[in-house]
Amino acid sequence: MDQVLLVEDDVPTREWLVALLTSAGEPQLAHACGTVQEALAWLRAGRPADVVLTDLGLPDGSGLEVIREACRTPGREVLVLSIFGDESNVLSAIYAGAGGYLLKDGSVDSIREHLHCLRSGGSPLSPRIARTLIRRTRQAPGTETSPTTAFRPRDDATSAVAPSAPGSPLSERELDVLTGISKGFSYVEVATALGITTNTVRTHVRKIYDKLAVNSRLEALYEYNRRMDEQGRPRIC
Amino acid sequence: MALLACFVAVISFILWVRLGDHREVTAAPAIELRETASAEVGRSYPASPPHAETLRPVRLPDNWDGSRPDYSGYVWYRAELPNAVHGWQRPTVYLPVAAMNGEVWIDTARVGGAGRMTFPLSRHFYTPQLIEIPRALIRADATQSLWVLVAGHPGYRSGLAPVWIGEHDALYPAWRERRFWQTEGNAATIVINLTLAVFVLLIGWRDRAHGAYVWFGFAAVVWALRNLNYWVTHPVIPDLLFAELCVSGAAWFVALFGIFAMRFSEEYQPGYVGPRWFLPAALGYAVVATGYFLHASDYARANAGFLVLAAIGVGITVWGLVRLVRLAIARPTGELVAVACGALTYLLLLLNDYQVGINRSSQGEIFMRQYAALPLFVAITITLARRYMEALQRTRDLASSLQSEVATQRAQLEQSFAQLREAEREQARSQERTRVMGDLHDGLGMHLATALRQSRSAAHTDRLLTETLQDCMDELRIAVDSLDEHERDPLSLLGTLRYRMAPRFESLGMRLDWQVADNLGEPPALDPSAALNLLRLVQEALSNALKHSGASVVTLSLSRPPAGVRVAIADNGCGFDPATVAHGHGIGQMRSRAARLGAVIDWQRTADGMVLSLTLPQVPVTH
Repeated sequence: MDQVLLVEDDVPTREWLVALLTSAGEPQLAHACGTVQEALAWLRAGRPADVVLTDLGLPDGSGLEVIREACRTPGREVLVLSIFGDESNVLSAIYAGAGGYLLKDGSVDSIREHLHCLRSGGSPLSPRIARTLIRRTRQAPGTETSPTTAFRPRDDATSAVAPSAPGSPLSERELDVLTGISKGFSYVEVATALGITTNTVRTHVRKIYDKLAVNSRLEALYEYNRRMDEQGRPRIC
Repeated sequence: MALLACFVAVISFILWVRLGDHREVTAAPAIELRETASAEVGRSYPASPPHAETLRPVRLPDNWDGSRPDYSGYVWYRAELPNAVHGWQRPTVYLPVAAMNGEVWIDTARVGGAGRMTFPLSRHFYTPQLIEIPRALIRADATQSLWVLVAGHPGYRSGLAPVWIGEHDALYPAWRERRFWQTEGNAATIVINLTLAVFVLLIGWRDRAHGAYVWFGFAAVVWALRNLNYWVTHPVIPDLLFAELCVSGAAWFVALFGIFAMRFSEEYQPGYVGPRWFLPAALGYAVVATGYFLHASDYARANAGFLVLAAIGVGITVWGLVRLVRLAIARPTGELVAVACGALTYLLLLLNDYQVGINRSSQGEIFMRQYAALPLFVAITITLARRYMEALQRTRDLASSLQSEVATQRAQLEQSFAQLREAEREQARSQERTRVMGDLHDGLGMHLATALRQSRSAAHTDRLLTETLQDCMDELRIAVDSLDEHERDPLSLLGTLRYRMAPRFESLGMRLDWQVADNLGEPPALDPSAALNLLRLVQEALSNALKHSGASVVTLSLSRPPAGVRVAIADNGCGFDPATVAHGHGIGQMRSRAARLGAVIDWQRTADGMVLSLTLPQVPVTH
């Protein structure tokens, strides 16, 4: 049975989530805490945490630290708690390795269903976040995709499908999925339009998250090594 | 002070020349011959001296204008060759003045002379002659005659000054000195005058700020040309014409210099204005004098009017010079005092020369005016040069101060531009703050107030409160969306709105379809205020459909008609008549939002239900 580590400093929110996760069912709450240090201590002690739910703004630091620590263990699900799913926070969490986010607005009363859904295939991806991801991909050197026209059914022979740009971390199909979502279409609609199943769409979204996280880690590593080279100091390999 | 000392020196020198010992040759051995016998022999060049009985005694100097006023032709003057001549190594005759021309004979033999002795005569009236007598012509056994043959015409101070005879070396210094002052020095003044004139004219011509000096430049040119009178012995034009042009030149000089003195005073002396009639009067005088002299058919006739015209000329000159002196008194600067001293010197010698000119009994004076003019002209030119240099310096100063001024101005301009931009940004921020605050107050604030009221009400229901709070959340999201810098085009705004609202439709068993036309492209971005109006309007329409239509499917679509962007919300519900529908549906509010967007809004009943269509202008309206 999956165990959940909850990191949230706002007491009412934490209590609400604790209440949801301690009722009968799966997954179950393993531990709830309100600071980065506590969470890191829990994780480093190797205590159970198959799923980590964390807020970003914590009193003694950023939830990103918790995310990075938690991601060291493969197969662990890390999710960000957000009020709006606002892009800047969610994106930094994704780049830190988070696999998605949960909204605190009470629309996820059946949090377990959401967690199952996340476990089985990807996070919800809002159009705004999708558009931000596309913009980021576009800004990468040598990429010329046009997301607003790229979203077309695959079986339409006359349609021009945007090729995946060289250097882009995403495959063509992932970009198609992202483009559809960016326009406000649901997973089902995207799946129908692309002639694939909804689950495949979820898988793609999941891969997009993973790739972006890995990609951002590679970028950071590259940047770090470049600076080390400039200073004549050893690289990290 | 240096200038002043200069003038004193010049005056002293001239006075010494004029008033000093009149005995021209001071060395020995030399004899001055004053007592002669003379005879007029007519206008044909004589082959030999006349007989002794035709001679009558004449005392030198002999000025023909006084002694034989209308005579034109040759006159012989005879003196006995002194015995001392036998003892001299190089017996020589010195003729200070033999006008118009003269030559020396011993008995019947011509010894020498200068230029042409036949009419028209060469102009050697101002050329001293030093003629050595060949020893072969001197005989020990007899009394010999020394003849001077003079050719002349009336009206030009023809005649003969006292003749000197003596040892060559005794006479030479006197001849040399006279020759220097009358010929070479004269030529030098002409060159200097012309140089000054060219300089002054160039500056005065190029810069009209120095206009007065143009008059002076012309005067100096005329003066230089006019002084050729004393230097040119063989003019290329007819002799009479040349002579009369020289006399006319004097008149022109007088007129031009008088005008200069007036203009110069006007420039330098504040408040002084010369008489208006002076300029035409002076020029008129010059024209009349020129006409008169050029019209004269011979020297005699020309000379008849000389006295009157010369007197007027002296009058004009005196007026001008006195004007310069009064200017120096009014403004006693070094330069102007120097000009005044030059003027006084000039005046003194002008009067002297005038007196010489009208004296019909004397001969052999040196005219000093051309020399006296030099200090005056130089002083005047110095004032111009000073002005010119000052103007140049001012221009340079101005240029450099302008440059720094421009730099300062540019810096100030840049600063005020920066301030302006900052003010504009501040204003934009302030407007945005005002808009956001107003929006939070009217939207979120109102909903929160409602929620508060509902929660306090005894009859409140959770469902109602939840709905109100949901509205609060929607309001807040819309406000946040409208501020996003990247997400303000209709596709992004409505895509996100649809994404948020779809679950609510689903939870009520309804469907919110979303259609985006293929030709949509990238619609233009709206400003935050327009974005908010669009979101509110569509949200209101969707809420209405959700709450009141009773439809099972609501379709939100975005398309691109030929002009603008069209948003349509269609439902398959019961429909309503927008003209009669209650205000609670927010129809009025939607209309006013559409107006603020510059969009056309309209409702249509269809077979299935209702279609609301909103057509946004091509160019988004900004507020």
